[in-house]
Amino acid sequence: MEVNRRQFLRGAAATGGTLLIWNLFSNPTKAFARDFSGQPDRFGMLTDLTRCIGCRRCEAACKEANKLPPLQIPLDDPSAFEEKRELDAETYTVVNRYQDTKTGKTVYRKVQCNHCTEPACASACLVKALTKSPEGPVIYDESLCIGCRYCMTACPFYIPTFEYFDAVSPAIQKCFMCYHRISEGHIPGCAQACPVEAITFGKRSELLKLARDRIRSETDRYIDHIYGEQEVGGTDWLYISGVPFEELDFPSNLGTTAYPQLTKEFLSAVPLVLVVWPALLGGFYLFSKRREQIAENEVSDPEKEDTQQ
Amino acid sequence: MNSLLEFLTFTKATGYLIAITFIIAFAAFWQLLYAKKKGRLIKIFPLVYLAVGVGILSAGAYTTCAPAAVTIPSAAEVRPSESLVEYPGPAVFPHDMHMGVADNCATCHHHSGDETPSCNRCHGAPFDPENLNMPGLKAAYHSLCRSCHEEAFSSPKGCAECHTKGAPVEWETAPPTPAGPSNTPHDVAGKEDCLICHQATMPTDHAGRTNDTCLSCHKP
Repeated sequence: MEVNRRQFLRGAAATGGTLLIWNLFSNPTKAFARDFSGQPDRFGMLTDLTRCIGCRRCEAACKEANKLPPLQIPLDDPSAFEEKRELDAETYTVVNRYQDTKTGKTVYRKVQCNHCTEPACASACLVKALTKSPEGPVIYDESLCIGCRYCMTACPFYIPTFEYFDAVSPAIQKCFMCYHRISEGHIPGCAQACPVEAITFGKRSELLKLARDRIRSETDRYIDHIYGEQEVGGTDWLYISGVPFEELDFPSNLGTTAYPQLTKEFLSAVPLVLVVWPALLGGFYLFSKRREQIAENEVSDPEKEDTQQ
Repeated sequence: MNSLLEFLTFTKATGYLIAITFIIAFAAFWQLLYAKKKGRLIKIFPLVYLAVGVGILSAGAYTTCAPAAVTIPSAAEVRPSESLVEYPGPAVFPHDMHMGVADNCATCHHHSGDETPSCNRCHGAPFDPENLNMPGLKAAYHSLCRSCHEEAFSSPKGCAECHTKGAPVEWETAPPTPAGPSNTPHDVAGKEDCLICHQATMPTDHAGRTNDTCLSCHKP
């Protein structure tokens, strides 16, 4: 089959163009979607910090549900609150104690992954080991992880922890909202163990309504803000509190833009550029080089004719 | 990833692999173009490659990134499984004593008008999606107890005040019956209603006596 270069280029442009336009206009909203507001049915958790009594049963239940080593400090030892504890590779959640500066009351605060709607960790992950599941939790596939720890850098709440003690196959550890339990129809461990239901488990949309109801019905008990409703584009783990959130070590400078939004537009252009620019520019080069070659041939041919004569 | 454009422009590991493969293929294509021997195969090869590449990308966009119908378990199916964490043991709840302390039954049997239903008539499994504000039975008990017994919830030792693992607490055993009108061995402040605890152990000759007569013989 003889294919002229012009015919080839026409054919390629025609197929490429049709495909492109077909896809663009078959899903117009999806193709140009900038914001991802998340699956509407996704689960979330609401933590009511006015109810928490600091019993730490959530910590113990988390350890048991995820087959982690048992608690370092037993439940009946109040020295657990002497220092603000942090998460580590064997602890997916901790409860810390704070003192309300205005009333002097003791307040407890639970720390764990906030399961952001558009997680920075999942966006930073090179290999998609951390993904946002449609059910809500941000889950982790250890078989894909390469141990680069970009997720730890990316998380605005400093949640993912790393198994530094494991030299051969370290994994990232963080709360994944008991995804294995949710998939079987059970509720996460911390929500089940809490004796005063400081943690409520349900659909995020319902939990927002519940939180607003609680704030509205007891205005002097709660601060009028749901932490996680819009912070970093929204998180699936919501908090309501009677004490200002800054006093409880909640970062207040995060803004309401999801972190992936800041880099998505630039990064998404990179593969396109890598594909299109070599093709286009290479084509131009070929074209101009070919023109030079033809010009050279034309110059040399008349010379041959001259020499033959 | 519902469209080819989206797949091309927001891809991860496999996307970068495809881009790199394309560059390598481009370089190979270039080499072929400048090969000294020009045969028919050379002209067909780039067309074939382009078709295969586009085919892979489209297939990738529609198979690996196909929006699968995810069944999100409705929260109604989510049930508390076997209990986690060490169970502190059953709590002792002296109902009769509380009957005397409360102003009326509705203090605890709330939201029921004149009835005194059992707690589990309304409070069942927690996190019912129809009614998220209704606590489950465990949380209902604890929240109600906490409204008066805040001190039991403020320290780890507090749980043992009620969760005695079935062992009777000292105010559960019947107070001893003295031989004559003895002095009250305990403080009467806050315990004006003597009958609440001593009704069961009153001797028969005290039948029909009410609270206001106790202190006339039994001096504190």
